[in-house]
Amino acid sequence: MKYRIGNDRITWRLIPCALGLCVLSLTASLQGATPENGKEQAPEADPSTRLAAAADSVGIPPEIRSESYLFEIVMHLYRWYLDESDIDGLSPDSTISIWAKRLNPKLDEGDASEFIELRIPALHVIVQLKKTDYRIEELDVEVKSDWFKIVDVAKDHHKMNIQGGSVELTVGVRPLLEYVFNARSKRVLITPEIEARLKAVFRRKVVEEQIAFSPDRPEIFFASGLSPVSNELWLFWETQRKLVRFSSDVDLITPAVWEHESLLVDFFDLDTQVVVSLMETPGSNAYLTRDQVGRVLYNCIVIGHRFVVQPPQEIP
Amino acid sequence: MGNHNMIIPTIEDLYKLCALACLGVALLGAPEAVAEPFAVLDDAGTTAGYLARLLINEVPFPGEHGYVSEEDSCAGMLAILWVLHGRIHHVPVGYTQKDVAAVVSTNILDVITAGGERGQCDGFYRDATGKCVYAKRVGERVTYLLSIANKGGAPGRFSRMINYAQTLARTYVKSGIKEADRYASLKLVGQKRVTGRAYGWMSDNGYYSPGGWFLGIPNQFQGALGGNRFFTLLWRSP
Repeated sequence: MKYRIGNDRITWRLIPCALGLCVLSLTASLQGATPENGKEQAPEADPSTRLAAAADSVGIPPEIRSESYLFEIVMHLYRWYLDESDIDGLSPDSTISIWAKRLNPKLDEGDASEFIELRIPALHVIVQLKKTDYRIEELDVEVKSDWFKIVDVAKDHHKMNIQGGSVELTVGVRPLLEYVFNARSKRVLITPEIEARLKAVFRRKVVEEQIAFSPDRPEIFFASGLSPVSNELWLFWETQRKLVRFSSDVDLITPAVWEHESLLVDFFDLDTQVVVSLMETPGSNAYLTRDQVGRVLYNCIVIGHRFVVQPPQEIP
Repeated sequence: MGNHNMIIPTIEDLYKLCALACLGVALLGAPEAVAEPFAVLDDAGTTAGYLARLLINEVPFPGEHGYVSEEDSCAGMLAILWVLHGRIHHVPVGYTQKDVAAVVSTNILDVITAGGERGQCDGFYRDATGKCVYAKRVGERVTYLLSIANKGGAPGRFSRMINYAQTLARTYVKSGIKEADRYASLKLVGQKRVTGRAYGWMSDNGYYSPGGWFLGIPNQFQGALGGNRFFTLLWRSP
């Protein structure tokens, strides 16, 4: 349908004016200028504010969103779970999406622990975090951590479904790679208190297991150190060819946890409990793979802490 | 007629006796009333006692890595019992019992101890005489958990969880499992057809799987319980 609006010369002068007015009003509305109620609209929120609002709405606390925390999580995965092939495909100029979702499992009465799941499609991992907050009445122990700690890591090479109630966090690949590179040989030392606790555990084990010690040979240990995002510590007992895992729901730096060390410790014999693939022993839960053992030895020997127990002074 | 040997105490004697008794109590203390323990396990030499110890050994208690809740750990115990039962009574089509249990037997103790000390159930095995035994560390932990359970003035989570394991085991030995198998009707995991039911479990670590035809049951089907990941089997043609 064609419209005529009058004299053609006037029309041609009026059209640009009309167009100009349209552009002006459109620009004004984008800037939030006066709507009918006369109030000014707030400018659109910046991305970090929008992220904070989105995260708050699904219960993802600020500590999870911080770059330093996410770097520590990825660093832990990098050292303990990922291969170079998991990283090789990443473009340094890209970002990694980390989808965070609050989980709400049914807990015991009085338990105020929090659970968060992180899904990282680019790395094919799903990480479960827990911030403990409960009491063990029988032991009169408070189990409370300051940080969310990793409690489980699962691999998922399928197309990862992102679930409702998740919020997307991102970290830049380049700054992340710089972070892990700069920390590559950072030795994570255990504290003297932890070392003393470990020695006490082994003193007891020596007696219980009647382990034979040579008076001329010191017992050599390598400890993996404590990550701020994990309640797990591994030990390579070189002279006895064993791996020892200390893990707990309580922060391992808490003195109270070491008083209940029977709850903490798993021993693995390198001579009898290592296979290349679990397909050699389908259905059994008694073995570690060469891959797992390799990662433990890397964290214990290359970037861990060596300490020695000298017989006979320190072993009864 | 009197008995010449009978001694009849006087009032004075009775007073002396009472005084002596009071002195004895003051020095030695009144005899303690023996309190019932909050948690008890059957003898480890019985099927129910041995089975209960396995169930306790395989799940986390409060303070231990992987602990979520009492309900979650107890659910883990039930799921483990279903795995053991399934390895005997629900071997799926396309598989033999040897494939799923590393043994051929209808005895649950054989299924638990299959493969030796580092076998299907780490730390549970038969010794040289054929007796069902467990590794020292298993006994230490169970003993320690029992000691915690029987502390204090009232039963708590530790005692309830231990008693749950023992009751589950006793009931199983007597009459089977009352509770349903949550994985019985599982047919698909992702795009993969599965047999349903769980036939394996691994503690703690979702990064590794038991190998072979075992496939991890994902979280959407409650595949993680009591600090363990449960595994079904890929469907095989008969």
